[in-house]
Amino acid sequence: MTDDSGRASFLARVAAALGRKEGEPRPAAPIQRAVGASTFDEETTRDAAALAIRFRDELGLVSGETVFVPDVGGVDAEIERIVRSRGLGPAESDLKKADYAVLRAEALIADTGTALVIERTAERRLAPYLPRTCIVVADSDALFPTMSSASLAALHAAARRGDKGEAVLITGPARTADIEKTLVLGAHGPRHLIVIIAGIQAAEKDAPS
Amino acid sequence: MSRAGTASEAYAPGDTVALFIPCFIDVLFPSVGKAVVSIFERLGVDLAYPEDQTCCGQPAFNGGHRKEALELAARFGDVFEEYKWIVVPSGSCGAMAKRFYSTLDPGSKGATVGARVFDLATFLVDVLGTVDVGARFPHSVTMLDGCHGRRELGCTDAARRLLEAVGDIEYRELPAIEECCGFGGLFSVKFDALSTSMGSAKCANATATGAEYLVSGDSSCLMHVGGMLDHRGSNLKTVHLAEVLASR
Amino acid sequence: MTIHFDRKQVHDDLHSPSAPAVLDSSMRRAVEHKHAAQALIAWDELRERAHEIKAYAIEHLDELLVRFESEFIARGGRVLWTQTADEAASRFLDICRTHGARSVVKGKSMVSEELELNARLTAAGIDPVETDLGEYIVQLAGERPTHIIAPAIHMSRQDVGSLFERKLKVDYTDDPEVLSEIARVRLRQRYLDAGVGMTGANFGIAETGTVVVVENEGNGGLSSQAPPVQIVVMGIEKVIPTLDDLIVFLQLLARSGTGQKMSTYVHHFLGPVDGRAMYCIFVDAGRTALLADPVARESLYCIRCGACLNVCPIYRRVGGGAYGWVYPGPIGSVITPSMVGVEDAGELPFASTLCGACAVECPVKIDLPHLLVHQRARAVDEGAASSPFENAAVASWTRAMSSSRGYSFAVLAARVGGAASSMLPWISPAARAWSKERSMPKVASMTFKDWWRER
Repeated sequence: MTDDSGRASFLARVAAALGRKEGEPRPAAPIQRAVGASTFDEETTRDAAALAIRFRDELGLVSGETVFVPDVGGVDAEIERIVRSRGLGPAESDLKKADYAVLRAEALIADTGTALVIERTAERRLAPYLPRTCIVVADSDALFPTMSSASLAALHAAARRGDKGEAVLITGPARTADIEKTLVLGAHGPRHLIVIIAGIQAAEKDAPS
Repeated sequence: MSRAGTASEAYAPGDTVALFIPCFIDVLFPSVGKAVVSIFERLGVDLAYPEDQTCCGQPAFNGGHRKEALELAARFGDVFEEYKWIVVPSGSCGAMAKRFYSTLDPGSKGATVGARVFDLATFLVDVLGTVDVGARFPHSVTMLDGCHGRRELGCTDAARRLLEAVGDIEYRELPAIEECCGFGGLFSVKFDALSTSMGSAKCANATATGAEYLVSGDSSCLMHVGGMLDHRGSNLKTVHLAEVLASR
Repeated sequence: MTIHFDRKQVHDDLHSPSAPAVLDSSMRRAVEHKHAAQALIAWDELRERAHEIKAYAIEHLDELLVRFESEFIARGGRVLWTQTADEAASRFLDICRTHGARSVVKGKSMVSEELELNARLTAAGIDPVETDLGEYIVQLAGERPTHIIAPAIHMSRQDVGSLFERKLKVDYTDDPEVLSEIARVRLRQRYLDAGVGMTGANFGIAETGTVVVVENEGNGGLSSQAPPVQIVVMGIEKVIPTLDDLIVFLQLLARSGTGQKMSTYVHHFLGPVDGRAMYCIFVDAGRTALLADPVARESLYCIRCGACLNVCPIYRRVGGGAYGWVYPGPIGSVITPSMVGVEDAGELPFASTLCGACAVECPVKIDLPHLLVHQRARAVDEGAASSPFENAAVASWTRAMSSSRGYSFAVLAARVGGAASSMLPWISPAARAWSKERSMPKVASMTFKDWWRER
C-alpha cells in the first residue's frame, strides 16, 4: 500500500531540495556501498580457540558469561547443568512463564562479545526478550574476529532470501542507565546471558590468546 | 599567486611580520600589543603595524550580521594584503581571520589574506621554532585556554610549551582546561546568567590551583574571567601570554 | 509556536540545589565513558568514513528512499510517505483504527515527540505506553524527554522514587535497581496486550529494506515484536545505502552515546511473520527544509547519539527543557530553526558561546559551531533574532570600523565616555548585564596605535 499522490509530491520535494531539475531522473544505478573498504573487514585469524577466549573476555566485560564444550554432543548436558545449578524451572513452551530460553547464534563476534540471532517464526519471536535467563548456543565455526561483511554474512543472506522475523545482534544481558546514568542489568530483557560455544576443548580455554 | 603562510613554509630571516592588534586590545589592553613588540624586537624580527587596521568583524559575524562581517573581512584583506606573515595576540580574532573569513566568502581576498594569520604562540613555536624567548617570570601561573585558539587554531600546546620554558616560572595545569569560560562575545550579555555561571566555574578552577597569575592568549576571555575575579576581590591576577613572554 | 531559549529556566536551574548538579555529573561521566571507549580504535578515521557515508546518503536521498521502499514492500511491509508531523500522526492513528488497537507500546523515539504522538493517541482513545525506562518516567511525570538518549536525565533518583511512590502507589525507594524492576513488572503485560508496537529507526538500509533499531533495555525488541502490528516511524534522513555501511555507524553510535563498545541490542526487522503486519511511516516534517539549505544540510548527518549535549557547557547547566522543543543542545539549536521555521526559533542558535566542544565530540563530524553561526545569520537576515536597534547599532559600528577616521572617533568617544562600553559592541547594549558580576575594563590613557606612532 502506498499513497501515490503523497509519494510523488514527497519525492518531488526531496528532488527539488537536492537541486535536481524537474523531470531529471533520479540516478538509477544499483546501490553502492557509500565508501570504500571497511576498516573492520575481516582480520585474517580464524583460530577458533583464540577467538573463543577473546569472545569470552569481551562478553565478560558486559556481564555476559561464556562456557566452552568440546563438541556439539555436550551442549545439551551443559544446558542441563546450567538449569540445575541455577535452579531454573523446566523449559516451558510458553515463553511468558519460562525461566529461560535457548537461542541459536548464527555468528559470534569476538571483538565485542556479540551474538547474531535470527528468529524466523511467530512462536519464537519473543524468545530473546521474555525470560530472565538467555542461553545462546553456537558452534566454534561461527566465531569471527570483528563485525564485518563476513561475520554478518548470515544476516545478509537472510535479508536477501526474504526471510521473515527479526535478526538481532545481542551483546550481553539487557541493561539501562536511565536513572542518573547508573547501570542496572536486566531492564526489560534477560538479566543473565550465557553463551555456550561448542567445539572448544576445555584444555584450550585458558590458553593465552 | 598565493602567499599564504603556513606552518610548513619557512620563515626567512628578514621577512617582515605584520602585527594584527585587535581593536579592544588597542584601546583597553595596549600593554599586550607593546609586549608583542618587545618579544619580536628581542628575537630580531622586523615588524610592521598597518595603521589602518580596525576590527576583524567577529562581533558582527558571531551575531549573525553577515553583511557587516563581510565588509570588515574585505577591509582586513586590503589592509594586510602586502604582508606574508601576520601575527595576532588573540586566538579568537586569529580564528576569525584564518578560519571564518573563508566560510563567509571562500576565495575572497579577505579569506586569502586571513589564511596568513598566526596567533602569537603558534608563530613563535611552529614558524620561528622558538620555545624559549628569553623571558623570566618568577611566579606560579595557570592557563586559561581560549576555545577558538584551542579548537580552531590548535595553539594550546604551543602556548603551554612557551610558558614552561619561561625562566623561574611555575606552571600549574588548570583543571578542566578544555571547558569554555563563558565569554562568547555577545553571549556574555544576552545570556549573562549562563555566562557568569560558566565564568564562576573557571574562576573556581583557576583559584584552586593556588597560582598567582591566570595567563591566556586571549584578552577577551581574560576580560570576562578577570572581570569576575576582580569583582569578587580575588587575589588571582590576570595577564596575557605576551606580557609573560616579554618579562625579564 | 514561538520557541525561545528559556532564560527563566536558566535562572531557576542555576539556583536549584540538586538538578543541575545531577545533570552535570551525569554528563561528565558520559563524556568520560565516551573518551575511554573511543581511545582504542581508529576513531578519527571512523568519523571521517561516517561523514562520507552520510554525505553520500543525503545527496542520494530520493534514490535511497525509493530503493528502501521497494525492498521494504518486498519484505511484506507497507510504506507511507508523510509531509508533516500532523499528517504522520494522522496516518499512524489510521493504522491503529484499521487494526482496532486500543493501546500502543512504544520504543524510544524522538520522531514520536515531533508528532506529539502520545497526545494524539490519547485524544483518539488509544493508550500510549512508553517502555524505555527514561521515557516511562517522563511520561509518568507528564513531562517531555530532556535528552536525546537519556530522557529523564534531569531527574535525580530521589525524584524518580517519589514519582513512582505517587503515581504507582509503591513504597518509596531511590534504588535504581528496584525502580527499574518496578517498571519491568508494570510493563510486562502491556507488551502482550498492545494492539500496535511502535519504534523509531536508527537506520534504514536501502539495499535490504531493513529497519535497524539500537537499544539496551530489551524494550525495543518487545515493543516491536510482541504486538500483532508493528509501526516504524522514520525520519527520512535515516536511510543509508548498505549493511556494510551500517558497521561503521555501529562502532560510533554506542561509543558516543553511552560509552559502550556495542549496544546490547541491534535489531534488524526482516519482515512480518504469519498473521502480523509491518508498516514504515516516512516523515519529512521539516527535513526537506534542512536538505534544501546547502549549509544546514550537514545537520541531517546526525545519528542522535547525544554526545554534543553531554559535552555542551550550556546544556549541562540548563538541561533539555530550556530549549523549548523536541531536540535540545547544539544539534537542537541547529535543526530546530529550519524544522519549525526561523521566525519561530531564531533565537536558539544564539544560546551558545561557539566554544566548539560539540564539534570535537560529534561522531559524524558535523561542524556544529559553523552551523550555529549559519542559523544566526539566517535569523538576522529574516529579522527573526535581532531587534531593529541592534541592527542599527551593528550597521553604524561597522561604518565606524570601516575607516581609520571612524575608528579614531569611536576610540575618542570611548575615552571621553570613560567607558569601554562605547567601544565594544557586545557590551554597549547591556552594560548593566556585564557589570552585575564583572568589573568593566578601563579605557587606556594611550592606545597601542598612538604608542606605535610615537615610539
